Amino acid sequence: MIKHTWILIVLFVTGTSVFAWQGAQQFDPNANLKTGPGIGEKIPAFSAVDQTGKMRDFDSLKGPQGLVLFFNRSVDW
Amino acid sequence: MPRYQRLGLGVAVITYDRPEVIIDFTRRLGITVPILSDPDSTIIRGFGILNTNVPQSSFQYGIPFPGTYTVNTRGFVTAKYFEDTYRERVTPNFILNRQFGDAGILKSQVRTDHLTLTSYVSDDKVYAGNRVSLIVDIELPAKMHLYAPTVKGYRPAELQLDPNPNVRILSTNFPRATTMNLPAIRERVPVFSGKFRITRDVIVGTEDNLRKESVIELTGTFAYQACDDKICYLETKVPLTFSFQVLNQDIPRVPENLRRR
Repeated sequence: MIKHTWILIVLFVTGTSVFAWQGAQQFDPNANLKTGPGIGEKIPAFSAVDQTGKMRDFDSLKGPQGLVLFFNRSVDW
Repeated sequence: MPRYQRLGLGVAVITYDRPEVIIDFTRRLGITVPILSDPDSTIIRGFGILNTNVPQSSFQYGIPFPGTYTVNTRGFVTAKYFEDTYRERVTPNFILNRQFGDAGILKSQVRTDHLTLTSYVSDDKVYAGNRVSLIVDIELPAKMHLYAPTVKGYRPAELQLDPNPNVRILSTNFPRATTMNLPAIRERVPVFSGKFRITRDVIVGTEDNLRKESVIELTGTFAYQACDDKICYLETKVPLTFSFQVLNQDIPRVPENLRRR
Protein backbone atom coordinates (compact mmCIF):
# COMPACT_ATOMS: atom_id res chain seq x y z
CA MET A 1 0.00 0.00 0.00
CA ILE A 2 2.86 2.36 0.80
CA LYS A 3 4.38 1.75 -2.60
CA HIS A 4 1.01 2.28 -4.24
CA THR A 5 0.55 5.57 -2.44
CA TRP A 6 3.96 6.68 -3.51
CA ILE A 7 3.18 6.00 -7.16
CA LEU A 8 -0.02 7.98 -6.95
CA ILE A 9 1.61 10.95 -5.32
CA VAL A 10 4.22 10.90 -8.06
CA LEU A 11 1.42 11.12 -10.59
CA PHE A 12 -0.35 14.09 -9.26
CA VAL A 13 2.65 16.12 -8.26
CA THR A 14 3.96 15.93 -11.77
CA GLY A 15 1.26 18.30 -12.94
CA THR A 16 0.80 16.37 -16.15
CA SER A 17 -2.69 15.08 -15.63
CA VAL A 18 -4.64 14.22 -18.71
CA PHE A 19 -7.36 16.45 -17.32
CA ALA A 20 -5.04 19.34 -17.83
CA TRP A 21 -6.23 22.53 -19.38
CA GLN A 22 -9.83 22.03 -20.22
CA GLY A 23 -10.58 22.87 -23.81
CA ALA A 24 -8.13 24.24 -26.31
CA GLN A 25 -6.08 26.91 -24.59
CA GLN A 26 -4.99 29.77 -26.80
CA PHE A 27 -2.11 30.80 -24.58
CA ASP A 28 1.05 29.36 -23.14
CA PRO A 29 0.05 28.50 -19.58
CA ASN A 30 3.61 28.92 -18.42
CA ALA A 31 4.28 32.28 -20.05
CA ASN A 32 5.74 34.89 -17.68
CA LEU A 33 6.72 32.10 -15.32
CA LYS A 34 7.05 33.27 -11.72
CA THR A 35 8.97 31.11 -9.29
CA GLY A 36 8.59 32.96 -6.00
CA PRO A 37 11.19 33.11 -3.22
CA GLY A 38 14.76 32.61 -4.39
CA ILE A 39 17.38 30.29 -3.00
CA GLY A 40 18.49 31.64 0.37
CA GLU A 41 15.27 33.60 0.89
CA LYS A 42 12.75 32.81 3.60
CA ILE A 43 9.38 31.45 2.56
CA PRO A 44 6.27 33.33 3.70
CA ALA A 45 4.46 32.00 6.77
CA PHE A 46 1.45 29.91 5.82
CA SER A 47 -1.23 27.74 7.34
CA ALA A 48 -4.05 25.74 5.78
CA VAL A 49 -6.22 22.72 6.44
CA ASP A 50 -5.13 19.30 5.16
CA GLN A 51 -7.25 16.29 4.15
CA THR A 52 -7.63 15.19 7.78
CA GLY A 53 -9.08 18.53 8.81
CA LYS A 54 -5.96 19.60 10.72
CA MET A 55 -4.52 23.08 10.37
CA ARG A 56 -0.95 22.70 9.19
CA ASP A 57 1.88 25.22 9.08
CA PHE A 58 5.56 25.04 8.29
CA ASP A 59 6.57 23.91 11.79
CA SER A 60 4.06 21.06 11.81
CA LEU A 61 5.11 19.84 8.36
CA LYS A 62 8.89 20.04 8.45
CA GLY A 63 11.14 17.09 9.32
CA PRO A 64 14.51 17.21 11.07
CA GLN A 65 16.12 18.06 7.72
CA GLY A 66 13.46 20.46 6.45
CA LEU A 67 10.51 20.33 4.09
CA VAL A 68 9.86 19.61 0.43
CA LEU A 69 6.88 21.72 -0.60
CA PHE A 70 5.04 21.03 -3.85
CA PHE A 71 2.69 23.55 -5.46
CA ASN A 72 0.34 21.82 -7.87
CA ARG A 73 -2.49 23.08 -10.00
CA SER A 74 -5.21 20.71 -8.87
CA VAL A 75 -5.73 17.18 -7.66
CA ASP A 76 -8.87 16.95 -9.78
CA TRP A 77 -8.05 17.99 -13.35
CA MET B 1 6.98 8.42 1.52
CA PRO B 2 9.57 6.24 3.24
CA ARG B 3 12.42 7.62 1.12
CA TYR B 4 11.64 11.15 2.36
CA GLN B 5 11.24 10.05 5.95
CA ARG B 6 14.51 8.16 5.84
CA LEU B 7 16.20 11.41 4.84
CA GLY B 8 14.46 13.37 7.61
CA LEU B 9 12.38 15.46 5.25
CA GLY B 10 8.77 16.51 5.63
CA VAL B 11 6.62 16.63 2.52
CA ALA B 12 3.50 18.64 1.73
CA VAL B 13 1.47 19.64 -1.29
CA ILE B 14 -0.54 22.84 -1.74
CA THR B 15 -3.30 23.22 -4.33
CA TYR B 16 -6.14 25.63 -4.97
CA ASP B 17 -8.71 22.84 -4.47
CA ARG B 18 -11.37 23.13 -1.80
CA PRO B 19 -10.99 20.75 1.19
CA GLU B 20 -13.85 18.46 0.06
CA VAL B 21 -12.11 17.89 -3.30
CA ILE B 22 -8.85 16.98 -1.57
CA ILE B 23 -10.67 14.72 0.91
CA ASP B 24 -12.42 12.86 -1.91
CA PHE B 25 -9.21 12.50 -3.91
CA THR B 26 -7.03 11.29 -1.03
CA ARG B 27 -9.66 8.84 0.25
CA ARG B 28 -10.14 7.27 -3.16
CA LEU B 29 -6.42 6.90 -3.77
CA GLY B 30 -5.23 6.24 -0.22
CA ILE B 31 -2.87 9.21 -0.16
CA THR B 32 -1.59 10.21 3.27
CA VAL B 33 0.90 12.90 2.31
CA PRO B 34 -0.51 16.20 3.65
CA ILE B 35 -2.32 18.09 0.90
CA LEU B 36 -3.20 21.60 1.98
CA SER B 37 -6.23 23.41 0.64
CA ASP B 38 -5.69 26.98 -0.54
CA PRO B 39 -9.03 27.69 -2.27
CA ASP B 40 -8.63 31.47 -2.24
CA SER B 41 -5.00 31.15 -3.38
CA THR B 42 -3.84 33.13 -0.35
CA ILE B 43 -0.71 31.01 0.08
CA ILE B 44 -0.11 30.86 -3.66
CA ARG B 45 -0.22 34.66 -3.87
CA GLY B 46 1.95 34.93 -0.77
CA PHE B 47 4.63 32.96 -2.55
CA GLY B 48 4.19 35.14 -5.64
CA ILE B 49 3.47 32.24 -7.96
CA LEU B 50 -0.17 32.86 -8.96
CA ASN B 51 -0.54 31.92 -12.61
CA THR B 52 -1.66 35.23 -14.08
CA ASN B 53 -2.10 33.73 -17.55
CA VAL B 54 -5.44 32.26 -16.51
CA PRO B 55 -8.43 34.59 -17.06
CA GLN B 56 -10.34 35.45 -13.89
CA SER B 57 -13.50 34.11 -15.52
CA SER B 58 -12.01 30.61 -15.73
CA PHE B 59 -12.53 27.93 -13.09
CA GLN B 60 -8.78 27.44 -13.35
CA TYR B 61 -8.14 30.95 -12.01
CA GLY B 62 -6.17 30.75 -8.79
CA ILE B 63 -3.75 27.97 -9.69
CA PRO B 64 -0.02 28.41 -9.17
CA PHE B 65 2.79 27.93 -11.58
CA PRO B 66 3.59 24.34 -10.64
CA GLY B 67 6.88 24.05 -8.81
CA THR B 68 8.68 22.62 -5.83
CA TYR B 69 10.76 24.17 -3.05
CA THR B 70 13.13 22.49 -0.68
CA VAL B 71 13.27 24.45 2.56
CA ASN B 72 15.62 24.06 5.52
CA THR B 73 14.38 23.81 9.09
CA ARG B 74 14.59 27.60 9.54
CA GLY B 75 12.34 28.25 6.55
CA PHE B 76 14.94 29.28 3.99
CA VAL B 77 14.77 27.98 0.42
CA THR B 78 17.66 25.66 -0.39
CA ALA B 79 16.57 24.77 -3.93
CA LYS B 80 13.57 25.14 -6.20
CA TYR B 81 12.35 23.29 -9.24
CA PHE B 82 10.17 25.03 -11.81
CA GLU B 83 9.99 23.95 -15.42
CA ASP B 84 9.61 26.22 -18.44
CA THR B 85 7.07 23.86 -19.91
CA TYR B 86 4.00 23.20 -17.80
CA ARG B 87 3.68 19.59 -18.90
CA GLU B 88 7.13 18.69 -17.63
CA ARG B 89 7.99 18.19 -14.00
CA VAL B 90 10.76 16.66 -11.95
CA THR B 91 9.64 13.72 -9.84
CA PRO B 92 9.93 13.64 -6.03
CA ASN B 93 12.54 10.90 -6.37
CA PHE B 94 14.51 13.06 -8.79
CA ILE B 95 14.80 15.71 -6.07
CA LEU B 96 15.84 13.16 -3.45
CA ASN B 97 18.45 11.78 -5.75
CA ARG B 98 19.83 15.06 -7.05
CA GLN B 99 19.79 17.08 -3.89
CA PHE B 100 19.85 14.68 -0.99
CA GLY B 101 22.09 11.89 -2.26
CA ASP B 102 19.43 9.19 -2.36
CA ALA B 103 20.90 6.27 -4.31
CA GLY B 104 17.96 5.64 -6.63
CA ILE B 105 16.66 2.30 -7.86
CA LEU B 106 19.34 -0.25 -8.72
CA LYS B 107 19.41 -1.41 -12.33
CA SER B 108 22.69 -3.28 -12.80
CA GLN B 109 26.25 -3.73 -11.64
CA VAL B 110 29.12 -4.54 -14.00
CA ARG B 111 32.80 -5.20 -13.28
CA THR B 112 35.37 -4.64 -16.00
CA ASP B 113 39.13 -5.03 -15.84
CA HIS B 114 39.36 -1.39 -14.73
CA LEU B 115 36.30 -0.44 -12.74
CA THR B 116 32.95 -1.30 -11.17
CA LEU B 117 29.94 0.38 -12.73
CA THR B 118 26.59 0.46 -10.93
CA SER B 119 23.60 1.95 -12.69
CA TYR B 120 20.40 3.33 -11.15
CA VAL B 121 17.35 5.30 -12.15
CA SER B 122 15.68 7.92 -9.95
CA ASP B 123 12.30 6.37 -10.86
CA ASP B 124 11.35 3.15 -12.53
CA LYS B 125 7.66 4.02 -12.85
CA VAL B 126 6.98 7.18 -14.80
CA TYR B 127 4.25 9.35 -16.22
CA ALA B 128 4.30 11.45 -19.35
CA GLY B 129 6.26 14.64 -18.76
CA ASN B 130 8.34 13.28 -15.87
CA ARG B 131 11.94 14.37 -15.70
CA VAL B 132 13.97 11.48 -14.32
CA SER B 133 17.66 10.79 -13.80
CA LEU B 134 19.80 7.98 -15.13
CA ILE B 135 22.64 7.44 -12.67
CA VAL B 136 25.98 5.73 -13.17
CA ASP B 137 28.26 5.25 -10.17
CA ILE B 138 31.86 4.39 -11.00
CA GLU B 139 34.36 2.93 -8.58
CA LEU B 140 38.01 2.73 -9.63
CA PRO B 141 40.81 0.88 -7.84
CA ALA B 142 43.79 2.79 -6.46
CA LYS B 143 46.04 4.39 -9.09
CA MET B 144 43.43 3.93 -11.86
CA HIS B 145 41.89 6.96 -13.55
CA LEU B 146 39.55 7.83 -16.43
CA TYR B 147 39.75 10.93 -18.55
CA ALA B 148 37.27 13.76 -18.14
CA PRO B 149 35.34 15.21 -21.11
CA THR B 150 37.69 18.15 -21.69
CA VAL B 151 40.75 15.96 -22.19
CA LYS B 152 42.70 16.10 -25.47
CA GLY B 153 44.51 13.13 -26.95
CA TYR B 154 42.75 10.49 -24.85
CA ARG B 155 39.28 8.94 -24.94
CA PRO B 156 37.11 10.89 -22.46
CA ALA B 157 34.45 9.21 -20.35
CA GLU B 158 31.08 9.41 -22.06
CA LEU B 159 27.57 8.26 -21.13
CA GLN B 160 26.09 7.75 -24.55
CA LEU B 161 22.38 7.02 -25.07
CA ASP B 162 20.74 5.79 -28.23
CA PRO B 163 17.95 8.05 -29.54
CA ASN B 164 14.51 6.98 -28.38
CA PRO B 165 11.29 8.59 -29.67
CA ASN B 166 9.68 8.35 -26.23
CA VAL B 167 12.14 10.52 -24.36
CA ARG B 168 14.05 13.78 -24.70
CA ILE B 169 17.64 13.18 -23.66
CA LEU B 170 19.38 16.03 -21.84
CA SER B 171 23.10 16.61 -21.41
CA THR B 172 25.34 14.56 -19.11
CA ASN B 173 26.33 15.84 -15.67
CA PHE B 174 29.88 14.94 -14.67
CA PRO B 175 31.57 15.62 -11.35
CA ARG B 176 34.40 18.12 -11.15
CA ALA B 177 37.56 16.61 -12.63
CA THR B 178 40.95 16.76 -10.95
CA THR B 179 44.11 17.63 -12.84
CA MET B 180 46.80 14.97 -13.05
CA ASN B 181 50.34 16.07 -13.63
CA LEU B 182 52.44 13.76 -15.83
CA PRO B 183 55.93 15.27 -15.73
CA ALA B 184 57.54 12.43 -17.74
CA ILE B 185 55.54 13.38 -20.82
CA ARG B 186 54.97 17.01 -19.82
CA GLU B 187 51.22 16.72 -19.70
CA ARG B 188 48.48 17.91 -17.35
CA VAL B 189 45.23 16.07 -17.94
CA PRO B 190 41.72 16.25 -16.38
CA VAL B 191 40.81 12.92 -14.79
CA PHE B 192 38.32 11.13 -12.57
CA SER B 193 39.50 8.71 -9.89
CA GLY B 194 38.14 6.87 -6.85
CA LYS B 195 34.35 6.85 -6.60
CA PHE B 196 32.25 9.27 -8.62
CA ARG B 197 28.77 9.69 -10.06
CA ILE B 198 27.61 10.62 -13.54
CA THR B 199 23.96 11.48 -14.22
CA ARG B 200 21.93 12.12 -17.33
CA ASP B 201 18.34 13.35 -17.23
CA VAL B 202 15.62 12.41 -19.65
CA ILE B 203 12.11 13.80 -20.03
CA VAL B 204 9.41 11.29 -20.80
CA GLY B 205 7.43 12.29 -23.87
CA THR B 206 4.05 13.93 -23.56
CA GLU B 207 2.43 12.64 -26.72
CA ASP B 208 -0.89 10.89 -26.22
CA ASN B 209 0.32 7.68 -27.84
CA LEU B 210 2.92 7.31 -25.10
CA ARG B 211 0.22 6.13 -22.68
CA LYS B 212 -0.30 3.02 -24.74
CA GLU B 213 3.24 1.86 -24.15
CA SER B 214 3.94 -0.13 -21.03
CA VAL B 215 7.75 0.02 -20.97
CA ILE B 216 10.38 2.40 -22.28
CA GLU B 217 13.77 0.81 -22.72
CA LEU B 218 16.72 3.13 -23.13
CA THR B 219 19.97 1.65 -24.35
CA GLY B 220 23.43 3.11 -24.51
CA THR B 221 27.02 2.68 -23.44
CA PHE B 222 29.48 4.01 -20.94
CA ALA B 223 32.68 4.53 -22.93
CA TYR B 224 36.04 5.30 -21.35
CA GLN B 225 39.76 4.90 -21.49
CA ALA B 226 41.40 3.84 -18.23
CA CYS B 227 45.00 4.28 -17.25
CA ASP B 228 46.98 3.37 -14.15
CA ASP B 229 50.50 4.35 -13.20
CA LYS B 230 51.99 1.96 -15.75
CA ILE B 231 49.56 1.28 -18.61
CA CYS B 232 46.97 3.14 -20.63
CA TYR B 233 44.42 0.53 -21.64
CA LEU B 234 42.39 0.41 -24.83
CA GLU B 235 39.06 2.17 -25.03
CA THR B 236 36.27 0.16 -23.40
CA LYS B 237 32.49 0.35 -23.87
CA VAL B 238 30.06 -1.01 -21.29
CA PRO B 239 26.54 -1.61 -22.64
CA LEU B 240 23.76 -0.15 -20.50
CA THR B 241 20.01 -0.52 -20.39
CA PHE B 242 17.59 1.63 -18.40
CA SER B 243 13.94 0.67 -18.42
CA PHE B 244 10.86 2.51 -17.16
CA GLN B 245 7.32 1.40 -16.78
CA VAL B 246 4.91 4.01 -18.11
CA LEU B 247 1.87 4.30 -15.85
CA ASN B 248 -1.66 5.12 -16.85
CA GLN B 249 -2.67 8.64 -15.93
CA ASP B 250 -6.41 8.23 -16.10
CA ILE B 251 -7.72 8.81 -12.59
CA PRO B 252 -11.45 9.53 -12.25
CA ARG B 253 -12.37 13.08 -11.27
CA VAL B 254 -14.24 13.97 -8.10
CA PRO B 255 -18.05 13.78 -8.32
CA GLU B 256 -19.69 16.46 -10.48
CA ASN B 257 -21.10 18.40 -7.50
CA LEU B 258 -17.61 18.86 -6.01
CA ARG B 259 -15.94 20.16 -9.14
CA ARG B 260 -14.78 23.73 -9.31
CA ARG B 261 -16.77 25.89 -11.76
